Amino acid sequence: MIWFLLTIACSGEPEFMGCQSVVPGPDQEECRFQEALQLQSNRTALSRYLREITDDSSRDLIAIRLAVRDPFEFGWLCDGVSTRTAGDRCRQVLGRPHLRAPRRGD
Amino acid sequence: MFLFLTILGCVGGGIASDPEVASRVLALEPHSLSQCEPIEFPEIQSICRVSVAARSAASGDDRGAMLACLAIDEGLWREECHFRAGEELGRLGNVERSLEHCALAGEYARNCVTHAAWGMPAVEGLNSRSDNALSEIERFGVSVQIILGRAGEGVSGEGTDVLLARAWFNLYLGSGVADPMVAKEATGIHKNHAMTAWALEAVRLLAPDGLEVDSRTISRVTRAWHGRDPVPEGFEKLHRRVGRYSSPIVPDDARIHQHVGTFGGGVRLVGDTDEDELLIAILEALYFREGTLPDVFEPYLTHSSNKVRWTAGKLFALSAGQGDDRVNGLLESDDRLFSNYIWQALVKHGAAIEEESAEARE
Repeated sequence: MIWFLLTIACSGEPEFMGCQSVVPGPDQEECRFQEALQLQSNRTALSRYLREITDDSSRDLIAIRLAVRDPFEFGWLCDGVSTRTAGDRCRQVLGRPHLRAPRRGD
Repeated sequence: MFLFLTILGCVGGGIASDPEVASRVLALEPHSLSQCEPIEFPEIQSICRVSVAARSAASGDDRGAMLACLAIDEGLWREECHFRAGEELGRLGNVERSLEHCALAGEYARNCVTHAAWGMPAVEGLNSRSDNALSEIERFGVSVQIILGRAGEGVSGEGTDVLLARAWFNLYLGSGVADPMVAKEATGIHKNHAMTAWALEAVRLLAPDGLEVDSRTISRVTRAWHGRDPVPEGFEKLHRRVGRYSSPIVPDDARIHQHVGTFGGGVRLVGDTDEDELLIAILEALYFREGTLPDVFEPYLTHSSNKVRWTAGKLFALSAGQGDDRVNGLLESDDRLFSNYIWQALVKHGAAIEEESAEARE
C-alpha cells in the first residue's frame, strides 16, 4: 500500500535516480549527464529532469554540456541557465547566431 | 501515517549533486591551455580551448591559438575555434595569419574570411600616392590566393574577392587623396576593386556630406579619373568609414554576368566597357554616400548599357524604398532582368540588414 501511494504521488518524476548512489563529484555529474542524454529526444522529459536537480550549478553544467554537444538542438537550454557563470559561458561561447543554425550534412 | 510517508517520500526528492565540481568548472576563465587539460567534461574542455584560442589570437599569438584549436576534436568546435581566432587576428590587422585559421574553419570559413576582411585595418602610411601601393596590394593578393587555396573552391574565390575589395578600400577610402594612377595600373583580379575604391574616395572628396549631388557631380568624378581635372584631395577620415550598404543582390538570371565585391560583403556588376565600368563604380559610390537622393540615379534608368541601367535601377529602388510610385513603375518594366534587380533589391535588402544585425551582435 505504501509502495502504491508513493508511486502515485511521485508519478511524473524522472525514472532515473541511480546517480544518487554515485559519490558526489565528477562521476556523479557525469552520471547525471548520461541520464539527461537518454532524454534528449524528449524535450519535456529533459526539462523535467533538469528541474529536478536542486543545485543550480549542476543543472547548468548539464545544460551547457548538452548545448555544446549540439547547439542547434540544445542551444535553447542556455536560455534557462540560472547561474551567472553559466550565463557568461552561454553568452561568450554559445551566443553566436551561426552556432544555432543547422550544419550542412546534419 | 500513509499520507506522511507519501509526502516524506517525495519532498526533497530532487536530485542532489556536489555543487563544487560544477561551479568550479563553469567559473573557469582560462588564460592558458594547461588550465583546460584537467577539466573532466569533454564539452567544457572544448569550449575552454576555444576561449584560450580567442584570447591568444586577440593578443596576436596565432601559434598559441593554433595549438588550442588543434587540441579540439575535429568538428563544429574546432571549426568555431579557428573562426574565432581568425576574426581576432583579422581585427589586429594580421590578415595572413587570420586566413590560416579561416582556411581551417570548415563550414564557417566563408564567414570567417568576410569578418576578417572587413575588420582589417588600413596600413598606416599607405595610400594611393605611395610608391609601393600597387606592389603591396599585389603581394597581398598572391598571399591570399595561396592561403585560401587550401580552404576549398567555395571559399577561395569569394574570399579573395572580399579581401581584395577591402585592401583597395583601405588604400583609398578616407586617405584624403584619390589619385587614379595606381587604380589605372591595377590589372587582373585587382582592376575592378581598384576602380570601386577610387570612386568611393573621389565621391567623398568631391561631394562631401551636406553638398547637393547631381549629374554634374558624376561628370566631375569622371573628369578626375581621366586626368582632365586635378586629383581630388581633401581631409582624411580614417575612422568610421561607413556608408550605405548594398547587399549581395544578384537575381538568378543575372548570375551569368560578372559581379565583383564592393564593401561590407556587397557586390556590383562589372561594366562591359571601361566607361560603363567607371560609371557603375561612381553610381555605387554615390549610393554608399549617405544622403544621395534617388533622383541622382534616375537619368541612368534609361541608359543604353544594360549593366548601367540595372545598377541604377537597384540603387534607385534602394534609396527610394518600397512604396515609391516611381519604383512601382519600374517593377512593371518589360526588361525582366531590370525589374528582377529592383524586386530583389527591395526584398533581399531587408533580409541582409537583419542578417547583418545578427552578425553585429556576435
